[in-house]
Amino acid sequence: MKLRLLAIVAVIAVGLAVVPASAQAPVTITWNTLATGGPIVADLYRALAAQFERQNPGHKVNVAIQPGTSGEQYARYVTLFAAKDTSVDVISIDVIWPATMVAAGWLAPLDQWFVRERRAEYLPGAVAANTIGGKVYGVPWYTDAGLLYYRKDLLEKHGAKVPTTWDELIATSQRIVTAERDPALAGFLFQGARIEALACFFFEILWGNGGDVLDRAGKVTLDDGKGLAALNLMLDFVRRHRITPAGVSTLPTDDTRVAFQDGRYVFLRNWTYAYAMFQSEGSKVAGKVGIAPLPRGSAGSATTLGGWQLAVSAFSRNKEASWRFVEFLTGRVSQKSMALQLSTVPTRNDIFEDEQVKRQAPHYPDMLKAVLGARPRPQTAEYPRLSSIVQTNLHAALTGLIPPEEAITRMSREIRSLLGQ
Amino acid sequence: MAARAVVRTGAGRRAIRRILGGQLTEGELAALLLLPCFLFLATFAVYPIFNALWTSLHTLRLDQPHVGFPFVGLRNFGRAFGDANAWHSIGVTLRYTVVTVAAQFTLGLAIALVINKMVRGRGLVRAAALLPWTMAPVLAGQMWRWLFNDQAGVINDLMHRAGLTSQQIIWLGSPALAFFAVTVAATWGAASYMALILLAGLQGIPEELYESASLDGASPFRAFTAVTLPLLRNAIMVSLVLRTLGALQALDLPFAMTAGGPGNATETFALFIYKNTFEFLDFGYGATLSVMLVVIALAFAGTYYKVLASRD
Repeated sequence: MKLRLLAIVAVIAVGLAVVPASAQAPVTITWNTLATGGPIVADLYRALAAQFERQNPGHKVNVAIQPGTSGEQYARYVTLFAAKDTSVDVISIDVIWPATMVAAGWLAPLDQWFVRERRAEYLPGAVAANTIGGKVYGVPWYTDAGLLYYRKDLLEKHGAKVPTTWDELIATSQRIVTAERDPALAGFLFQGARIEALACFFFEILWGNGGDVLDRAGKVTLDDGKGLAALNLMLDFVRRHRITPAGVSTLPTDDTRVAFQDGRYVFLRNWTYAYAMFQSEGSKVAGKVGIAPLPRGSAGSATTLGGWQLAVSAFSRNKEASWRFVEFLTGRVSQKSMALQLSTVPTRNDIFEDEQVKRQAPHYPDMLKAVLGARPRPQTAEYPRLSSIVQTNLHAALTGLIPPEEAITRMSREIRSLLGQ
Repeated sequence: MAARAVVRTGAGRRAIRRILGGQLTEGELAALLLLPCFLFLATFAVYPIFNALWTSLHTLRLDQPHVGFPFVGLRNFGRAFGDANAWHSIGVTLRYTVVTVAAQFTLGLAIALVINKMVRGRGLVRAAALLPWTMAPVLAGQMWRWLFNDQAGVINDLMHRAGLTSQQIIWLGSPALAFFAVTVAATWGAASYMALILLAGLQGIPEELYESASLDGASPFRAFTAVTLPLLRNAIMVSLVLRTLGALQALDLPFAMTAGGPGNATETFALFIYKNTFEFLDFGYGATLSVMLVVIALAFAGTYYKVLASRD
């Protein structure tokens, strides 16, 4: 009897002793992210998370890689945060989301950790994109822009220069495709599916012509003739010059990357991430791809500011630990690995000066030239809806549902009504 | 307080004693047994509908929480009536409903008639025919998206091999073809379900009726129109109502196959509601559109009931 009592007391004592220890149980941080580009990207993300775990005992990172396009990722975040879900701590977000997500109260402010001196280490434009109402809600992870990829080998073989205007791109495409006599080879590919990148490509041509969706005062200027000219050029690639197949209207971003990597196109408009895939093992175009700024319009060459940020969910129960992981992923070591292995464009000034990066990534000067002048997309809290209007009408014109004039008229009318003009 | 007052009165005490003692009248027992079902429906059907109705009279934007939840009367409905894209998507949904339900019914009836005539292996065929219905629509949508892919799709490949086409057909990139492709997938998915309901109806028709029809010299076609169709009326009504309501709410299949594209050629009303609610976070407007969908669905169900319900 006494013995049993003793045993019970012992068990209780041990139990009490264990309690403080279990309070220090590992903190688990869940990170939701896309990994556009496939396994190479996902593997590096997991390796970086493992490195963080080794450096920070007591921290565990659950890397939740999500499939699909950035639009689909946005829809998932909306569902998650509308329900105030606490299961996700760190999220990667597109450069166009902070305004909307902050207004909805989904992102935790990072000012107490991401202080002024730290912010100075990053590209100012990228930090500005994460600063809303005087507070900073995200740390720039990598920056991005639309680029022109071209087949160095084919251009050299046919003695062609890298095109600097759209007319040159059309002429060079036609010349090379005709001379190659390969039925599987076509001229130029862009993202023609009804996704964000379709709107971006339209903006790039529009800006190159000196046009814009909104003027400085925020008034809609899309129907001043330059919008129609930009759309007509996009349609002409397909219908008049036949350098782009009509099936482009079904191709999202990574499908165009795969098609170019398969050796089926001379030119491609895509984001910076594609370069590392082209150079990877097993790629049919490894060592044959050059990078240039997008061709000029009457007002010069223009490209869209893209890029991804890391942010902490406002509903996270481990905000401080989450910040440490964000700090690690956007820090020197991680950004350098990503620059070397994925050819992403860093957001930290010191990486551009790094000797090893300069040596191993000789394409960076070309990429930087294209990326540094990138322009932000129309800046309004209604951007998701504005972009949807642009995408839908562009796609309707591209697939022959409505004529280009009507597409521009509708776009302008719908954006005006959206912004109350 | 009120409940306690009831218990304290003699009637309340007697009622409780009768419930505990199992001395219930038939009506009381029925009410008691129906209570769980009623509570379930009230929680998961009635409450959401009224909540949507209430929300539809307010502005509720998740991306602008500072706006709050102000009452706006019928302003959201006014906006919907002036919204060309809303009307367009209603048009798409109506066309989609008419085409898919008609095709599903025709094909389903054919399948049911064949299975009904089978002597051996009926159970096996019936189970096999139901397979498409068991597949999740999003999964089926992905599958059909690949089948209809213009570069690597099986359908283009087969047509090319058969010498029917010389060029790749861009199924999902042209408005009419994309609509056609989605309706094909929808018909494939639900025809077997339609067949199952119609088959149950067919098996309830006594064989003697056909015998006497043939004794009277009726042709098989005449027997079909004079015996089969009239006696199948209830099964037809059930299957049409169920599939029509399903088609009016079509979201998953077009979402997976075309996401409403090209342009907004296959954007059904349910997709439009989804886009406004979850992409643009405009829950007030989304609720308004949902209420409109409920009204449209009720109008359809009411019409079917009027036209097809047994008049005897």
